[in-house]
Amino acid sequence: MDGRALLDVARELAAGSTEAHSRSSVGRAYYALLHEVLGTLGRWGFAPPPRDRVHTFARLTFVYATDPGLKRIGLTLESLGRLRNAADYQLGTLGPFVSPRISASALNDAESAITLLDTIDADPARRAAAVRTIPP
Amino acid sequence: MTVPVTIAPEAMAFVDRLGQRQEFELMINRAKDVVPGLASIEVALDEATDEMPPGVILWTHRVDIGTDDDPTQRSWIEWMAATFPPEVCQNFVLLPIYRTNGR
Repeated sequence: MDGRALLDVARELAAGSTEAHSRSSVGRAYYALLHEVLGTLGRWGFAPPPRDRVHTFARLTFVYATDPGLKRIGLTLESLGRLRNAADYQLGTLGPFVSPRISASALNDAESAITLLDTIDADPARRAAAVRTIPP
Repeated sequence: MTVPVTIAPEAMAFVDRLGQRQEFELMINRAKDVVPGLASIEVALDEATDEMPPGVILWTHRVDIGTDDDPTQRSWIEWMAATFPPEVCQNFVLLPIYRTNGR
């Protein structure tokens, strides 16, 4: 299964009527992008670390790339990760989940980042140039 | 119009430990300029989890502008990527809190 399949679940949850739906949708949007990044890095020859470090590996590999597209994808993962922390670990604070729009916003951001990743990956010249900017 | 900014002491201490106060202030000023419907900014420290180290969140309390797609976050990230090195970018995120019905 591709990570992006989780976007469909995120979309279904975003249409839900409760705070729990919004919180859960944000988490699925984060994991959709995380798994797309991990899958792409694997295809590009970057071996994943042990499971407890995959979040940091995916995020920082792209944040530290000098290719602007990869960097933007890494920073989107960073933002969605922080939002997912709020969704999953701060249940006592309504915070951003006062409005269901937060889940739609997270979903759009994850989709845009995956589209950008697809664009880079589909162009061999651009992909090669981007990969060269990833620090060893 | 003046946008109120509240900064949690632990967030400010974290920024100072990083030595990134100047960059942080630039972000606050930028947010005031570019975030639509901005009512206030609340800066908090996001504690470390198993998956992420601690980081600073700029919560932007906003009047819901009501469009299906809000490009603010993507524009912000583009600016961050173009303005700061990764050593700064990785410590700060901006996130929205959409206000509805006066809440």
